[in-house]
Amino acid sequence: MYGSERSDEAYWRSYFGFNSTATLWRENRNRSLGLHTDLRWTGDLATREPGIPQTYIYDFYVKLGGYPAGSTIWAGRQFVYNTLGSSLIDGLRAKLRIVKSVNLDLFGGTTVSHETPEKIQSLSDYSMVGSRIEYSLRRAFRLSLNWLAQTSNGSISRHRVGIDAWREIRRIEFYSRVSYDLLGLDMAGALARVTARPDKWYLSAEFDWRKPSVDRNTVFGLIDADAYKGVRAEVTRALGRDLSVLGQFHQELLNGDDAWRSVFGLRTTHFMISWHHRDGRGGESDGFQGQVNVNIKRSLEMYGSMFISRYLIQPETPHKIDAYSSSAGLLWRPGWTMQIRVEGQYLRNAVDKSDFRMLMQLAKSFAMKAAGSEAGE
Amino acid sequence: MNLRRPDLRAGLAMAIVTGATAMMAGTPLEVPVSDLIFSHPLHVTDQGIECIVCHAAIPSSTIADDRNLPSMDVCADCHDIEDDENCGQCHRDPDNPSPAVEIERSVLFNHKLHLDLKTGCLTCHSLSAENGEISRMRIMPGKPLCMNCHDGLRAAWNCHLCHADKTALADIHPIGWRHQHADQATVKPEWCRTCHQREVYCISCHRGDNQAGNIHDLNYEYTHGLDAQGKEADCVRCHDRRAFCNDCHERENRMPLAHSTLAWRNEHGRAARTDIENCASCHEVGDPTCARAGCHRDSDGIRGTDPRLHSADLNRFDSHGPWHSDDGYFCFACHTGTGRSGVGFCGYCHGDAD
Repeated sequence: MYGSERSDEAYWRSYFGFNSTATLWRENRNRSLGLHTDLRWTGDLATREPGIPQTYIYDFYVKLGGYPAGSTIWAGRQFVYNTLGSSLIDGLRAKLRIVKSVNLDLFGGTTVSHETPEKIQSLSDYSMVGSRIEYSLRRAFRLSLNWLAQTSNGSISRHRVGIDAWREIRRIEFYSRVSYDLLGLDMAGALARVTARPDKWYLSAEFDWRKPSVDRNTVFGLIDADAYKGVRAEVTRALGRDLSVLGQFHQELLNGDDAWRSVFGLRTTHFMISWHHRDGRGGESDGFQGQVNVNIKRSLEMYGSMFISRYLIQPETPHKIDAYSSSAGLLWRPGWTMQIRVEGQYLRNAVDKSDFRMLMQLAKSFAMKAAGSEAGE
Repeated sequence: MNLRRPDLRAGLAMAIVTGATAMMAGTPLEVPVSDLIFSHPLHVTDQGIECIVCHAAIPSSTIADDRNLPSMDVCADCHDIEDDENCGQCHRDPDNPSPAVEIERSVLFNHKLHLDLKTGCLTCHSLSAENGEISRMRIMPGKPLCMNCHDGLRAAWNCHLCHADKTALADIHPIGWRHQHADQATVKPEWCRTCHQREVYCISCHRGDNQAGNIHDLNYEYTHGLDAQGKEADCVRCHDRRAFCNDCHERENRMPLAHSTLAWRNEHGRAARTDIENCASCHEVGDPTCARAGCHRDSDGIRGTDPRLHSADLNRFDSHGPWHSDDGYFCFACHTGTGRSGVGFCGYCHGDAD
């Protein structure tokens, strides 16, 4: 239940989520047939809005494992992704082991409309197919070739191939990927990242270059737009068992209209506080963020957060705007399979001087075993 | 592909250098070396010695940091530890013998609780044949083994159970995790699954709501323009632009203030080239906005005069492009289909009129 009382109206959104994993048949640890579902019903007790109540099926698929050996097949509504894109689809996915060190991941189906999730769209109008073939060596080196084609509004909106490599050497990870747009016959993106974890340190640096994410079958795909280029660096240093300092820097290079942002913070077991600064393209802002987490008892946790910022998004705006948000909640776990959360939220922003919200959540998981079956959940 | 572009060259060079370094570099995994030589199979399997004989403190151990390894005095019950000639039996470097190094645990673990629940030692600690090597690292269970039981059904599946107060995202992952996690999930999905075993895990965030403020700040509805324009993230990776952006921007009639200035007419072309994603977040496919002002309208149908969005020799599509069968195709936001050879838009490809 999520309630919000703004200056002029109140919402009492009620949600009922249900997710289940049923083992329909199991021969051994690796060979099985299962059914997985995840759906959510959304209603509102106080207002009537278009599209509410709504039933959204996020997952509804059958999963067959072990046929052929080392392979898994999913059929139904599911979330799929590779380095070139992701979507919720109604379709098929197969992960096949070609040889011990080579895996092939294939998926395809109709994409799900967020406006009408209850419908299965036309395969010729809205679809996504993709693949990923991966070569791995001793769990420390992986090289993959990806392909993705997406159809929107009846024609191909995205068609890309890409290659990515990952390597781990002691405590240093290297990752890079490159993608190529087969519709525009041009580079689509490239990323290189190095992450190191020497004793008490976390260091990460990356360079990202990408063309805009616009569908090629729209008027926007025709414009010879500039690429986005970004440099990121991140560092965390542990000063003791429960204390660390952290920093993050990001500069987006937009042909002189650059944007940069930085974060500096302090973190302990129980709280984190950080300062955020942005400037350049997109606007400017300064803000403080704080989080606290305390276990009152083993089964009872108290938590809270606060974020206060002063920002300016458009240079035409006469003055900076203040935004404040905070939350405080209790999380109670009366048993292994039950969780109860009560959280209050308070917001002040450009539109609402006072926006109070309440989140109440009860989650219960349970297991059932069919009579006579060897294993079932 | 224009490889003369400096930005493209820089991106490619970075990717190639990192990829090549990754492929050519040396030893793959760090394997800790201990001074001790000890074989669990020899003692437990062959000699039939119970675990508790050496690890006597285990039944009362309630935290992972307890020192539960036997001291040399325990070895002395069976072995002659006074004989200097025999040091090499247990120590790789008999001239400089050293005890087993304790590792600082970052998780909670209660041996007593598990033993009270009749969980046998071998449930977690496997005794693989190690040919006389110290078995410490191989015998210590990894998280996937814990998750065999701690799946939320047979035993509890909560972060705090092992990670104490480290229940916030920032406690376990670095601060840039939201930005990086898609690459990790694609390249190393099995690493994610060591904690996030449930099938529902990805969709729990990717369903798109932000009620608890776990994805974005609670005020993000008002401040997201900072990230969207500043390219903090590729919004489209998670949000369907057609449904997500337009839903609010149209309903609330939110328009950038710059649009209403006199300079916008001259400025918007540069703005579009700098950040076309920003335009696309509000303007729909086939949106008449661009043609409405009289700029991007193919009024005369003469090749190369209008519209000014793209080059006149644009030829990215095959001769059976979707505009032949789809009257709503985006070309017709600016062009007018005539259905006649040599006339207007159709005449661009279909030659002179008969």
